[in-house]
Amino acid sequence: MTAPATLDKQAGRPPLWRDVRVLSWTFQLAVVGLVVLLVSWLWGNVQSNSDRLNIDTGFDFLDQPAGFPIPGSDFRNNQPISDAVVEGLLNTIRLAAAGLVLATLLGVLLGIARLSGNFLVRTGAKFYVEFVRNIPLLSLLYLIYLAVILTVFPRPVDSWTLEGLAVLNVRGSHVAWFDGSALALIGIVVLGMAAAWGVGRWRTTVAERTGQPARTALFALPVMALIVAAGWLIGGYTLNRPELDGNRVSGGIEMTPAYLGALLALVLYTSSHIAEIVRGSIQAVPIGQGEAANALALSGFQRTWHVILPQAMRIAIPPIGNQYLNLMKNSSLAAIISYGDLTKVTELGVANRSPAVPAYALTLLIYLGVSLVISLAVNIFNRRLALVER
Amino acid sequence: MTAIARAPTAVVVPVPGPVPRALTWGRRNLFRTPIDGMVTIVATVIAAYIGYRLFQFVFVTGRWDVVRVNLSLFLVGRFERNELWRPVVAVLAVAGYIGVWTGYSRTRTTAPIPATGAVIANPENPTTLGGGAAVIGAVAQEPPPPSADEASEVDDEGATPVERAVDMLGRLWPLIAGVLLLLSLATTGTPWLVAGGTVLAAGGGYLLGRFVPTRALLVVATLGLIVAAAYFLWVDPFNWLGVPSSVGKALGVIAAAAVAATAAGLAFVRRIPAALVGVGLFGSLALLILLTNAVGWDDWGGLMMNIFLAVISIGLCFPLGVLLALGRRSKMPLIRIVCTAYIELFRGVPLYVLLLMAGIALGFFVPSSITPGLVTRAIAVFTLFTAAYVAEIVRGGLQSLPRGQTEAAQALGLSAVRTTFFIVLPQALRNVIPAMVGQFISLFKDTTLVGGALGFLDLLAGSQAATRQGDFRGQGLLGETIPFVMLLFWVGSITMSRESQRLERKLGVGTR
Repeated sequence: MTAPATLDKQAGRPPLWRDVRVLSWTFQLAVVGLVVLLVSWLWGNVQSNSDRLNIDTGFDFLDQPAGFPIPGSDFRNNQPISDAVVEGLLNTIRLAAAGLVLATLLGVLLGIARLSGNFLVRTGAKFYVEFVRNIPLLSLLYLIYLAVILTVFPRPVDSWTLEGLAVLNVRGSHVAWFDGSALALIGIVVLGMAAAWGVGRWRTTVAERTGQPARTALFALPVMALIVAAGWLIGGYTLNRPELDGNRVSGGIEMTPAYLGALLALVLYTSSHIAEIVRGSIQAVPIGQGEAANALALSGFQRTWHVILPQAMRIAIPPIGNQYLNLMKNSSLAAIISYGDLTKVTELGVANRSPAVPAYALTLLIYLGVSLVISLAVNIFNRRLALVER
Repeated sequence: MTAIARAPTAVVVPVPGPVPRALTWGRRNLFRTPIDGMVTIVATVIAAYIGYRLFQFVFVTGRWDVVRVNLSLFLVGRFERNELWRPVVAVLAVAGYIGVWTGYSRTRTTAPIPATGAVIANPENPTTLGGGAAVIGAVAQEPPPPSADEASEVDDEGATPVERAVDMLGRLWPLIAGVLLLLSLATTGTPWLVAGGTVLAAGGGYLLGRFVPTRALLVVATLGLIVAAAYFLWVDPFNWLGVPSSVGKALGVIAAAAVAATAAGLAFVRRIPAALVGVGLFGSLALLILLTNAVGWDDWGGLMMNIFLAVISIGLCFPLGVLLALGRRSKMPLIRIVCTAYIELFRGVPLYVLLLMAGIALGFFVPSSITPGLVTRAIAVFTLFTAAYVAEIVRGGLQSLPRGQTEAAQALGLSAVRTTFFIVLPQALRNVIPAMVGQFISLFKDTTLVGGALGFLDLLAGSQAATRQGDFRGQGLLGETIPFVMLLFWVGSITMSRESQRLERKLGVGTR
């Protein structure tokens, strides 16, 4: 079997025009050259057009006073544009983060409802998902904001009140919130979760050693509740309820109509997509897994929680991560209804003599950065959950 | 022992005796447990309430006059009313073409041919069993059909016409319901004429494709193309794009002649599907010229504009996406880096911001002598953006393909290009049809962004414009117009999604 090798030796290297490596690199360099040419042509055009119109192509505009207010924010006209961009990014994050949490909760609920044994629940969830998934997000946003919030919501005097939990009217909505440092509260909750996780580990070890039921939730949840309650009391947190006082609402946290509209639209739309993913992932778990759980006489809850869901989650995480990315990117549509997010700030800035190309380039880069952070987080989470092959 | 004693509760015990089926069904699906029963009762109340309110809204309180009066605004926007025959001709032509394909594929594919050029040893199809030569032969003789209608229709062969009609109704009911809704809202007879004409064209095309000899069919098509070429010689097809008249005419005629010759030639050597595809490709170009000639495309609007933007962008982004996917999977590092950078860049930014940027900043990227129209800008953005997503979907398909396929093709001595286009891509693309159609649906839905970003009067923007004019101003009619627009988009999306599921079943994705 050495014949080919000998032949190879005799022939030596092929001529240049038939050498695969030479051809490959020539082709690659040609393509890269074309790309470089295209980019430099585009950039040259930007330069010459900007020179002609006497527009700056650098990022100096960021230090100039903005000269425009941001809707729904206490941003002042004379603050620099860089502050406006930061405020816009924060608004985007406020919208996307709240949307992400709510869409996940509603989506998982709907996805499970889609597989319910109850005909009415199953069909209702199906109607909802199949309708909302197949309409444009923007139409939903217009419907909720223009046709519901701005049309149906009452004047401040006749606000809808929900027994101290929420006050809704056309000017803005107030929801009960807490007084005190949000960051510290998050820290307390994280501490509680860590403690619960530790307790869970301890219960699992005990269960594995003794064979007794682990009853993780029974031990871990009270620990967590205890820590959070203690933190709430020690930190001096109080619940701040919104109250209607004639024309004005005091207390609680205020959501502008644009924020509420954008949040509702994003949550409803994304949850319908997440519901489909959850349903598909649960159905993708081999049917034998559920049957095996039945054969082991696991209860319905145990079957779902310990057998089906962990395997379904593994399938569902990457596509749900994609939905998170979509939600974050779709939050830019809130600019259409004048929510002061990053997109709106850029639009306002460009309308107020910021140079268009660098301003939009910066916005795109920021969105790209946020996307990368989200996909990084999803990837890390996914890797932790991934099946460890033998 | 308790565990064993508990086991039977998890098993559904069949109900013995003559219990009515509805009762069994109800017990299983509505009242399995006490909690379930309570849920059912609550859900019934809620569903009844929602149903009642919906009924009230649709038939009693809804003020649908605004939709009735502005129907043409919703459908075609501010398109020149005297030129409306152009889109009508386009609709009829497309219907006829689809009819011809359907009729053709129903009669001519009784013998199942391999739907793709897969190198497989298929025990049910002896022609692919004879080793490499037969496989290459099959590949060479029957290039992978571009349309699914080519795949064997064995499943509903022998169904009576009534059964087929019922099947059609079950398949396309959202579309049929949507068209009937539009017709019921029409105030003039024209929409009825157009709808009737469309049905006639589709039926005529079907009969033509089914019963006329294929040669004759192709002669008719070629004649049509020659007529089109003459038409392009007469009019100046691209003047609105700023191309010199002589160049535009020459381009039109050369394209027409070339494609007509190709179609005729392919028909002569019995490559009928390929010839039909050629006719389709060229026909769509001809329709594009017909639609835009003397009208341009910057005054389009309504549903027509949404469909047009989606169709053009799909047509353009698909090849680009496939190339990007191949590039990202390439062994050449520089190509891979370029393609990966492009894909990740476009997937990480919002479409809406890109559209805004196209409206304001695109002018900076081209020489000042060129000022692309807004529709051109929108198409460019949709194409570049969706191509990145298509590339990722195709990459998934490429990765799902067993290595053995490529290795077998190489072992048979196929060149890299042939391996890619005849072995790898047909199978990879077949595997990703649902994801791809899903992406196209979201492109169709995303065309609504042009209203907000570039100020077009598309279907969704029309829903607001309608409430701002004449007698309807200030009456809060958005609650009627937006749901109507939603319904139209729903019809389009759900039809695409159902057809893609059907296509998937027909091609047997996941079953072989």
